[in-house]
Amino acid sequence: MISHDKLKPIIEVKNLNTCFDGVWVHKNLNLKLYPNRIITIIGASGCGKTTLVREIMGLEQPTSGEIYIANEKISNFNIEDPEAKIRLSKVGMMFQHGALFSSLSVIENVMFPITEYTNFSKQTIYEIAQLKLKLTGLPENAYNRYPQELSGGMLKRVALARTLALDPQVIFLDEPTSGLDANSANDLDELIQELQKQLSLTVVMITHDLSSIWDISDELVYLGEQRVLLHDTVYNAANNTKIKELHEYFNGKRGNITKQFHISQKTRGTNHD
Amino acid sequence: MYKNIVNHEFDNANIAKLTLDKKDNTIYLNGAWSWDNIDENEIQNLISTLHIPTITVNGLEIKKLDTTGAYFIHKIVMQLTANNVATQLNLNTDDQKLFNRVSKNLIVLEKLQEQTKQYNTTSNNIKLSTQFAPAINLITFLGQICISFSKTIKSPLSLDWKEVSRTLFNAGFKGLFVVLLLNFLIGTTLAYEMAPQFTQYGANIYIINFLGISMLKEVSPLLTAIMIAGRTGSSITAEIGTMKIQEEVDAIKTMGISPIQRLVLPKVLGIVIATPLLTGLAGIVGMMGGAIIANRNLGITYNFFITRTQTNVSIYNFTDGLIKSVAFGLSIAFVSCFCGFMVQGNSNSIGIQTTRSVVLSILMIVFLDAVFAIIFLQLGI
Repeated sequence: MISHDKLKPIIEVKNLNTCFDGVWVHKNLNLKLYPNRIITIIGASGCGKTTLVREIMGLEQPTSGEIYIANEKISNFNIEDPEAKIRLSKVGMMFQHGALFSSLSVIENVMFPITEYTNFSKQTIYEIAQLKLKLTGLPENAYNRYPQELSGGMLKRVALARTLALDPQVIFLDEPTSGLDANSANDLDELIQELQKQLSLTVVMITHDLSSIWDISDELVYLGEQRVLLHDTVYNAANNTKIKELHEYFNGKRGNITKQFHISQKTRGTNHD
Repeated sequence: MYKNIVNHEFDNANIAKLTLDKKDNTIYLNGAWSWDNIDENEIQNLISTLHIPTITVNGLEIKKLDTTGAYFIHKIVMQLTANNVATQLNLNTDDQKLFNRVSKNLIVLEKLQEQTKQYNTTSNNIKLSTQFAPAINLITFLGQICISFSKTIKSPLSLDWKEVSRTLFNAGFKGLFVVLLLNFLIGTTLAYEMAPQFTQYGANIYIINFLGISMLKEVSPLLTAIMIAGRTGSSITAEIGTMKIQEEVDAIKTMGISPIQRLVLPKVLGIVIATPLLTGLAGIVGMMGGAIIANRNLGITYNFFITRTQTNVSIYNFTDGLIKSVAFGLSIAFVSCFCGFMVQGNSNSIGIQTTRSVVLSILMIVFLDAVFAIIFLQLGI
């Protein structure tokens, strides 16, 4: 397990229980996430990864338990409450399919949260939004287009730019590389890592992409049996032999190829990118 | 600065400040330079009044810097440089890294903006052709329908007759009750309000002539068509629009099937059959409503009402109404299908096009009604 003596956890989940129509999704789940790193949550489909993230964001109410973001309780909050609004401006979420507003252009999508929260002049907001899009590497000719006219990789970049619009401390990414070709996925991975370092972000990522896990994740959280089975570095998790499913995840037919590749890259000391 | 948020205790120590020290020509930046702590006006006020040859911007005391903060520092530096003030910026190593990256991107964007400004001034006249795009689209659409229709006449079995019957059921049978109710009520209302006028002149029996012409020739075709435009036309637009957004129309095209043939023609045919059927029934029901009021208020028996209708109301009133309703049906089907195809991958667009479909259909109906009135008058029927 990872221990952090001096740091305060930025996200803390205590004794979380979730039950949907008699089906237990989380039973007594405990989790502490520390700032300034990339954390990946993995687990089999339907094990409650997305539900956990949605609960942390306050989009879903847990049956019982407590969730803290930066030492402030997030569960049972009211969206009309100004305090909740301020708290939510410190966290960002990028949804799996982007969830961009189709009636707004790309730049308006990014301007939307900034306009909502600040009283900067229109021109300033426009320029800040441009900057965010530029930081995510979206080509300039796409700024005034509409989301439905963009490719999958571009959409993810816009969604990321909108997530970063208010410079949150924590961002949640739900399958950022799903549906992208290998090159776009690599680009997006690099971008996330670069932004994480530059903006000192805490990135919590849900992904099935083994390459992303090896490339950019600092820590791994493995969900199973309705709780956190393992929270460790990627290397340790991959060499874990106690949890059968996790061992298969990294050493099965798919997992092994990626693992061998990344370990060989590391021992050679070269950067494969 | 946060907007519209009251009752929140802000940490005053964190608010981004810039103070000018005139002795050593330095602007000191303090506090947290993040979006929630920056006051844009304060920066503008200080910078715009500054007129000294050299200045140092000291940001070593900054507690926290985010991209928005870096944006404003970049703006400060750029504006000072533009005012011919030689500026030097001092930042911590970490902040400097973020600032450099933000600044680099902003310079690229600013250059680009200047280029697009120049481009916009030279390329204003290109846009003229796009003004006529809807008219060109409409003509193309009508042409495509004509081609598809001529093909269908050659091989009638290629048409999706199931879809025709579905449209007929939806537009005709499902709308039957509401259309008949509407016309019945209008028949009674017209008769009720006109009855005192007729009794004044002792011309009670002319209520039958009045109802015959007004209901059969004008009111029932118009009301029925408007009802169909509102009920069926809007649903067709929404249906085709949704299909277009979900790429179903493209899927049909990739299978080598013409979307006009598969989607539009059955609907046109269904509506064109349904409208005169409904109109005919609606006219008769409207007359029945009138007959009840004539019987109650003017003492005209039902038998007399029928014989008087047979002798004094020309059958042409009825057929005129039916002929008109065919044209109304055609225009409703054309307009609603056309608007459906004009939907462009955007959930907003369906709403806009549905509204446009109903409004355009009703406009077309009233316009055609006027045209027919002139034609029938000239032909003397």
